[in-house]
Amino acid sequence: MLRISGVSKSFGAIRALREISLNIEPGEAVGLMGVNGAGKSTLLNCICGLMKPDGGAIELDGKNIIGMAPHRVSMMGVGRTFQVPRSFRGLTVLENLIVAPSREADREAKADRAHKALKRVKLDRLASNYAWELSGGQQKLLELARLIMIWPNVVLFDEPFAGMHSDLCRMFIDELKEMLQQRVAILLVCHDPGTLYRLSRRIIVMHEGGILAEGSPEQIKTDPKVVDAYLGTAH
Amino acid sequence: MTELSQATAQNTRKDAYQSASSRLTRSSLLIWNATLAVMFAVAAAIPWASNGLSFWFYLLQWVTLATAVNLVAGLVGYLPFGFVAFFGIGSYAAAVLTQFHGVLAGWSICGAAMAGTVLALLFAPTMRLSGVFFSIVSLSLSIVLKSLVSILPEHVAGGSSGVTITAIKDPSLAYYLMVALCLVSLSIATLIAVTPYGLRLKAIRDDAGAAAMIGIDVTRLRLSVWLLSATIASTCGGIEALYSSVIDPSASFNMLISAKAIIYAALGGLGTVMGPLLGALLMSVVDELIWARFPVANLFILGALISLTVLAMPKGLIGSLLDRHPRFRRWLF
Amino acid sequence: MATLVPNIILNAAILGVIYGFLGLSLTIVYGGMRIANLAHGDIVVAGSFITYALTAKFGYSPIAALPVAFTYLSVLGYGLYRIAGKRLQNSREPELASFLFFYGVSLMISASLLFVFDADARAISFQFRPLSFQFLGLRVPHARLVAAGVALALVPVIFWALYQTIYGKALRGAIMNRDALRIVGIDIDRLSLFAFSISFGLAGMTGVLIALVFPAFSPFSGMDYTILGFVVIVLGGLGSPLGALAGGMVFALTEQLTTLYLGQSTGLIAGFLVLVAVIVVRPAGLMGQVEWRA
Repeated sequence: MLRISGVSKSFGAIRALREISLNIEPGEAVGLMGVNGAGKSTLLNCICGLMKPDGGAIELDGKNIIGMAPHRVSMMGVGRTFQVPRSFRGLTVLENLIVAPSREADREAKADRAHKALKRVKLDRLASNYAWELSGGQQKLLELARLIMIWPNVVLFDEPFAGMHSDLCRMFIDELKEMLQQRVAILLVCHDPGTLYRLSRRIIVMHEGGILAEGSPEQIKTDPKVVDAYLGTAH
Repeated sequence: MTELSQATAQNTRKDAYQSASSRLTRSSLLIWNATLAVMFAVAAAIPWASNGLSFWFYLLQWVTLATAVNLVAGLVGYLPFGFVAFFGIGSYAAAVLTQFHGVLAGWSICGAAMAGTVLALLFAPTMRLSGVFFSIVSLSLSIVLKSLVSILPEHVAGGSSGVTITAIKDPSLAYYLMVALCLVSLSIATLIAVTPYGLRLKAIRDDAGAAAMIGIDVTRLRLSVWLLSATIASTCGGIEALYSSVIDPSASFNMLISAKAIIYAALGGLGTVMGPLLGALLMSVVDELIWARFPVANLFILGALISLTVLAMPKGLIGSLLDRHPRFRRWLF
Repeated sequence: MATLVPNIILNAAILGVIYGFLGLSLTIVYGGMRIANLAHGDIVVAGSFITYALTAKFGYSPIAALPVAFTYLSVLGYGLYRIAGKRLQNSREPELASFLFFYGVSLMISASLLFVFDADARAISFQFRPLSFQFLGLRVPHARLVAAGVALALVPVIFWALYQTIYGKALRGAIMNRDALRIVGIDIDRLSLFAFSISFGLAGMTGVLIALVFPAFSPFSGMDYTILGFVVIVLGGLGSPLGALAGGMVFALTEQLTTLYLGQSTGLIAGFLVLVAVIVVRPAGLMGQVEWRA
C-alpha cells in the first residue's frame, strides 16, 4: 500500500529525517512514536506532499508520489489530520465537509453523506454553525468527519488524542477501528505510548530524524534503546 | 453556544437537503436576484431621470471595483495594494486603442479586458508570497508600471501628460457599459457564492494547506480568481477612460483607487457578496454628503468614520451582522 | 562624474539611514503586534511640520524639534493604542482591521495638518552656519550633516534599547513568538503600549530628519513615506531592526545610483524592482528569519 524507503530531509544544517523506511498495509495501523523534534511531523508532511524530501522514495500502490502537489496526493487517497485542528473557520460545519471535491455529481447525495458523517461524530446539531464557533475538541471531531466524508485509503493521524476529552477519545478510537475494519491503512502519530500499544500491532520509534526501533508493543516496551531515549525520560 | 445550536438545529436538516453547497434558502436567493434586477432597472433609467450622470457612473464604478477586489481579498485572502495596476492598464489600453489606432469603443474595451488578463498572468508569480509581502510587492509593481507608462514616448502612450480621447465622445455609451459590467461582476460574485467553486475559494482563504489536503487544487483556483478579478478591474478602467476621456499616469494608477476599493469592500464585509455592494453604495453617498455639508472638515470626518466603523464592526457591516445574529445567515451572504 | 559618484554615495548613505528609520519604527509595531500602521507616513510628516512650526514661528533650531516631536507624537501613539490597540489585536484579522483603522487615522492627521498649515508645500527656513562644508573635495550641506549626525547618534541608542534592556528584549521576543511571551508571563499589553508610543515618537523624529534633508513636505506626502517604510522592512526582513537599516541603505543606494546614470524617473522604478527581485529570491527579505504567513 504505502511504501517509504530511504527518505531524507534537511533544513539547513538540521537533518530532520535520515533514511526513513517503512511500509503500511491495508487494514494495519502503524504507530509512530518519538519525542518532540524527532521528525514525526516532517515525515507526515513529506508523505502528503506539503514538503519535498531531499532523497528516497514514497510509493502509493506502486506509484511514486514524491514531487506531486498535495491536492494530487490527496486525490490518490491520502488523508490526514493535523496536530492543531485546521478547519475552515469561515465556512459552516456542513460546508467544511462538502467543500471536498468528489466525483459524485449529485449535490443532494453529497449533502446526505456529509450529514451522515456529522452524525457519526455527533456534530449534526451544529451543521449550520460556523467552524470558528466550535470548541477545540469539536474542531478535532470536524476534522475526523471530514476524513469519514472523503474516506481515503491511507490516513495519517497527527496526535489525534492530544488535549481531548476521554469521551471524545473513545469516539475517535471507535472510528479508527471502523476504518481498520474497512481495510484503511493508518499511520498514527502519538505521544502517549499507552494508547499506541492498544491500537497498533507495529510501532516505530523515531529519534533525531532516524528510526530507533521497530516492532510489536511488547518488543518496544522492553527495548533498552527506547527505554533509554524515550520512555525513561518521559515516564 | 448551546442557545446558538438550539436555534439552528431545526433548520439544519432542511438546509442540508435544500441547497447542498450553501446555507442559503431558495427564497433568499430569489429576493437577492429581484433586488439586483430592480437596482439595475433603476440604473438603466438614470440618464433620463437625472442630469448628474457622473455621480451614478462613479457609484457603479466603485461597486464594480469593490466587488472585483473582494474576489481576491475576501475569497482567497490577499490584500492587493497595487490592484490599481489592472485598472490603470485597462484605462491605457482603451485610450491608446481608440485615440491612436482608431479602434471602435466596443473593441477597445475588449482590448482593455485582455490587457488586464495578460498583466495578471505576468503578476501571477507574486501569489507565492503571502500577507504583507504580497501586498507590498503588488503595490511596488503598480508604482513601477505607472512610472514605465509615463516614460514611454508620447506617440505610444501619451507620456507623462497622458492621453485625451477626442475620437469618441459618448458618455452615455460608457455609462451603459458600466451598468453592464457592474451587473456582470455582481452576477459572477453571486454565482461564485452559491457554487462549490466559491466554497473552495473560501477554504483556501481560511487554510490553504488544509484545503490542499482534501484535494483542492489551490494554485489553479487562486490563479483563476486572480485572472477574473483583474479582468473585471481592467475592463472597468477601460470604460472609465472612455467616460472621462482624459487619462494620465498619476490619475489612472492612483493608489487611492486600490485603497478605496479595498476599504469599501471591507467596510461592507469582505468575503460576502452583499458587503462590497453595500459598502460602495453607502460610502459613495456618505462621501458625497460629507463633501457637500462640511467643505473644511470633510477629510477628517471621513477618516473618523472609517476608523470608528472598523472598531465597532471589524468584519464590516454584513460580516459582523452574520457573526452576531445567526438568524441572518440564511438570508445574507 | 568622478566627484559625483562619491557624493551620490554619501547622499545615499544619509538617505539610507533615514529610510532605515522609517522602517525601524514601523517594524517595532508591525513585527510585534501585526498592526499595519498605514498612518506611519503621516506621523512622520507631522514631525516635519512640528519642526517647521518651531523654526519658522519661534525661530528655534531644528535640533530642538527632536524632543518636542518625540513627546507629542508618542503621546498620540499612547492615546491611539489606548483607544484601538487591543481591539485591533483581538480582531480575527488584525492586519486588515488595522490597515483600515489607520487609513482613517491617516486621513484625520493629514486633514488636521491641512487645517493648520494649508495645502502648500513647506520647507524649514532655519539655516545652519556655515551652509555647507567642504571636505575631501565633497561639498556637504550642513543640514544634511546634522541629520546624519543625529541619525548616527540615535542608532546605537535604539539598538541598545532593543538588545540590552528588558523591554527591548521582550519586544524582540514578541516579534518572534507572541504566545511564548504570554506563557512566560510578560504583560503583553503594557509592552505593546510602550512599543506603540516609542514607534510613534521615533516616527516623529524621523520627520524632523526628513525636514532637514528634503527640500519640501506637504500634508499629503504621508502616504509616500508609509509606502517607503513598508518597502524598507519587507526588503530587509520583517521584524528585524538591523534588516530595516540594511533595507533602507539598499533602497536608497539603488535609487540614487540609478537616478545618476539613467535619469530622475528611473530611480524609483529601480528601487522597487530591487525589492521585487530580493523577495523573489529570498521571500523572507534580506535579514528575515522566517517567511510570514498571512
